[in-house]
Amino acid sequence: MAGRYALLLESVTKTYGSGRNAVTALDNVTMGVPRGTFLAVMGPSGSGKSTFLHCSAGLDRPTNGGVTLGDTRLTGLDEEQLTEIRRERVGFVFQAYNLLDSLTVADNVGLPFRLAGAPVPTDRVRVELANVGLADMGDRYPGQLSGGQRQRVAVARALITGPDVIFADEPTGALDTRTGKQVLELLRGVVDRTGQTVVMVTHDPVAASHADSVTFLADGRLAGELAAPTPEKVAERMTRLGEW
Amino acid sequence: MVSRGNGAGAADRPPTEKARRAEEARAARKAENARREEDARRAKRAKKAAKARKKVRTLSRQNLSLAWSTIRGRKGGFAAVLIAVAVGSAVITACGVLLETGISSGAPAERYHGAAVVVGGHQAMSVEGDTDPRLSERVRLPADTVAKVAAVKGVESAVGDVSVRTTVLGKGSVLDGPPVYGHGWSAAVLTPFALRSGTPPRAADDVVLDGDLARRAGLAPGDAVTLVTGSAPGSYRVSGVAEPAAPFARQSAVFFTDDRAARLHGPPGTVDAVGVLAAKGTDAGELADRIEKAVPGAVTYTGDDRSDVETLDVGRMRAFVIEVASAFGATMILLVVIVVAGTLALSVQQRRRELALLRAVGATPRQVLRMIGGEAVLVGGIGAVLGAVPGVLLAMLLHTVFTGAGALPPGFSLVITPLPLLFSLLICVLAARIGGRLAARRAAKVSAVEALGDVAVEPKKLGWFRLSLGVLLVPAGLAVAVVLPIVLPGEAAIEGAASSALVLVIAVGLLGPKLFGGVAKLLGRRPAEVTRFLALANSRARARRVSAATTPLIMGVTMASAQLFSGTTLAATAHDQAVDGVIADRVVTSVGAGISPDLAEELRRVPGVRTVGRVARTSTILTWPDGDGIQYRVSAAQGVDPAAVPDTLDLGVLRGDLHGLTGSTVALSRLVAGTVGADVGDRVEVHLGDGTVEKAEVVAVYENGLGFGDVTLPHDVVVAHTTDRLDQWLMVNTDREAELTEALKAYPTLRVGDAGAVTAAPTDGAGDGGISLVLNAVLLGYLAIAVVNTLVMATISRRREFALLRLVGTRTGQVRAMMRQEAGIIVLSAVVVGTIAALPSLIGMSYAIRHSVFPSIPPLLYLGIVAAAAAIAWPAVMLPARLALRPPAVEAIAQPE
Repeated sequence: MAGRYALLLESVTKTYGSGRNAVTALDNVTMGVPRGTFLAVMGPSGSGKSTFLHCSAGLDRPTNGGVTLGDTRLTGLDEEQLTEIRRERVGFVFQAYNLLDSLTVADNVGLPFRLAGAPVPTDRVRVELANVGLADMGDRYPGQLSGGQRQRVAVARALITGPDVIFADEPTGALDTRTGKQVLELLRGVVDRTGQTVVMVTHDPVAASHADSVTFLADGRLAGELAAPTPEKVAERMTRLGEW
Repeated sequence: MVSRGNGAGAADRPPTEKARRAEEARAARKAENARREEDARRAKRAKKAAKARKKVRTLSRQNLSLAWSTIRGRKGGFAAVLIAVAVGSAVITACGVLLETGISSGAPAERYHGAAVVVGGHQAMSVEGDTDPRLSERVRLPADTVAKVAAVKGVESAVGDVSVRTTVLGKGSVLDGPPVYGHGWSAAVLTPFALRSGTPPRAADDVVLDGDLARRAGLAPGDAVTLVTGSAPGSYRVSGVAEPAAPFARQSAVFFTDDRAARLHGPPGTVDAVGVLAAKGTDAGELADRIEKAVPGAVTYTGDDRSDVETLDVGRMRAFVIEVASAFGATMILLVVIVVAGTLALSVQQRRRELALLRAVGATPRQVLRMIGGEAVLVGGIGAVLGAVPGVLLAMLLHTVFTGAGALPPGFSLVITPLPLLFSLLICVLAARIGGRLAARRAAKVSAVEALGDVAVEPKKLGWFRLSLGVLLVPAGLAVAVVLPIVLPGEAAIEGAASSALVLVIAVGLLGPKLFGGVAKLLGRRPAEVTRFLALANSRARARRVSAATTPLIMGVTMASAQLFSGTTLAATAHDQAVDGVIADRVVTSVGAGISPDLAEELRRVPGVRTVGRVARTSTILTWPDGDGIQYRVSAAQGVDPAAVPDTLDLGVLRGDLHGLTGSTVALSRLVAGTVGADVGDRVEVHLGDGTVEKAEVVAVYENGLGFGDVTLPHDVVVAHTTDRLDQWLMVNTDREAELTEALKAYPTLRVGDAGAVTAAPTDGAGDGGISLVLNAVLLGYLAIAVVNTLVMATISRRREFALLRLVGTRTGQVRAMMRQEAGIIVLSAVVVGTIAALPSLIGMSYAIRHSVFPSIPPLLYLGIVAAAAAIAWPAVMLPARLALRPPAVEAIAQPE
């Protein structure tokens, strides 16, 4: 099991509230993300996309079921341990606000090492920045970069620890089509070139079409899968799932 | 398309699920609608703003309503400004109430309770175009004034009154309580006193005591009592006990026969005041006018003002309250403007995104400017109103404290009118207006593009105006502090040095971000430890915000250091000068009113006594021409026996010789000589305690003015123009101390001590030191609130940053450690910068008063300031940080900034 899946969810249920007000955000979800693949997760608003992401990445704890990240079971870990897992085994790319304004680009990328108390491998920081096409930008501050450049810095930071999975939450949501495409191609390239695993939550069929496969969620449940997605096929499936 | 898709998708699902999906769809639509509504609202706001632009004058109604809706929507951000304004308004209101109390209130008359009008001398020196300084000693009236007043129409009778400081000995020791004054029995009618038992004084050694005094001393008619007038004890017989019409709080009274009172009173042919009993149906005010017209040189007092002439201290305290309230109020106004401006700037800075959005939807920079101006004025007005009631309460508290400390006479009631409230409202709105304008100037420059951007970076560079003003103020402050004391003689230097601290604080506020970045740089650029690394990076990159939040703390450290250490330096210098300056073996002091001048002659005859030097104290006013007008300065003065000075006192004579101090001569301290611009051989105009003018030749200039007073005159000149005509100290050199002690046995109010007794004797109003301490505490308290305010505001707004840190793997413990480091940096830089800003003024002052560049800084007191800074700033950073870390990171990061 440890070998095949970078991320494995087993009968994961997440309920918010209790009694009559209880809302089931994830309902008995079981799925695995094979290593070295690019998975897109789609679904209408309220389908449980965010909860899926939070539970998978150790940001939130499932009510029932288990999550395995790489070869570590997240169930039963306390907040400190989860923080460490996030730092070392998970990379994050959020929709916006990914970088600390007071740190340079290079310091932002090297931050996970500092937090772990390890020396910052400056060479690797340079390599990762070059990989995302920002070789000369290490000394700049986030405020001096464009939105697309900032997202690419976020990708570099997510990559640098060699995580089991990179989670991307609407990484192109705040970008225009062209720069969004650049970020998506960057993620695609990372998967193809280094065998990295990427899980991306999105509502954009074009974004989803960069993935190897798309998993659909509706009402907190798995609602089908689509291999080799194209924007048209994805859009058609989404239309059937309801408003999105 | 959406609805069709919905139907198609729902077709192959159970109906319950269909309902749920429908509901979800509704929710989504609702969200969409809400978004549209929000957009519409924004558009409306922008439209309103656009309309407002057409109104050229500053505050249109639309502008205000726009501002109001923003305030309602952003309570948190405005709360800080509101607190800063409200507390400031409270303090300003309190100062205003005290000032008005000093000007228009009075203590009800006690002994002159029954007199419609009281006539006294002109108890002030007339100065053109300035407030008349009060004279410290009684200005007496010629005895024939009584007859002149009695002749005025409407006067039923006029009674001349004298007051003789008296000490009552109860069972051998001095009776505690309010000061006792002796009068002639005929003046008892001015209260009026009613004889409760016994008879009026008839024999020369008969006295009538007031009831309270008799009770406290345990005396009844027929008892013998020892009364000390001057320092000579006298044996009297209590002939009666009388009760005043209303109880006394500020004094006690004993009544001699009129002859005895006149004899004890000293200057023959004078009275202290004339009390007037009016004929029935005569208006006191009109009567007073008639008396002033009929009797030249007479000043009339009616109502509560009568107490000013009853005892001199009521008038002195009134003058003191006016002076303190206005000086302190002025400083507070300046502080409130600075603090409110700073807080507003911070709150505007944290709304840059919202302002950028406004710009993006079409608001012009002018409109943004107007909107912020409107908000500031609204918050300022509301804050000022909120502060009004606490302000009145604070004034009551201060009044109680002042009265308790003896800086206000008992019965001096607080005057509360709307005037101080209106004044404070005006000042606060003005402060908010200025602060709002400064903050808005920058805010209006926010580009519309920033609304779309994600990061709210602060502009790297400070504005050229701010930078150059700050850079210019530094040498200005230094010049005032350091150059003035070297170049200028006299006390202008000290005052200049003192104000330099304020100038430098403003410079610090302007240059804060630069200084802050500098301190952060000094602490190392890239430490290995991650929380330290982050804290330093934050301090550098957010220098502007952090420095805005730190400025009040820096101001607090500077003000506290400047105020406290200038006080300690002055006190230490005065103490050193006095202790080193008294070279006599023994010092005779009095626990009563003073020492009779003729005692010196008696002591000179005591075997073993080599020298007896008398020292009398008073307060003089020096005047000197300055351009077109006349300048004046009130100085503490002493009268000495020049022959005894070389063996008893070391004044640190710099030029001239004290031997020549006889007749119309004077010696001045270096500082006052510099202020007046006079040197040995010049003549200066000295107004003695009772206003008599002496054109005295300067015979010497000496150093130790703080210890002994800035003006030294011949003993007889001083004593002849004081109220009580008594000496303060006798400086004695003797080989046989036992005989000296023996000789003084006959004088129950006198004590023999060493040089320490000189410093222990009060030189100024006893309560003054305590009062400035209380007022400084209020001032620093205000700054403390401002510090907490800005730091909390700055920290709580970093929720999102903390969330991001946690999401990328920072443990909450590490975030807290980072904030501890930042709090440490804040405290450290505030202490360093604040101390540096205070030092020039302290060094300058120390140099001016004692030619030493080292001010007296008691280490413990300094540590106290540092500890207070830490104790205020630390929780103000750490508690909100804890609070900001409470919500789950994923939620916090989704929230808008």
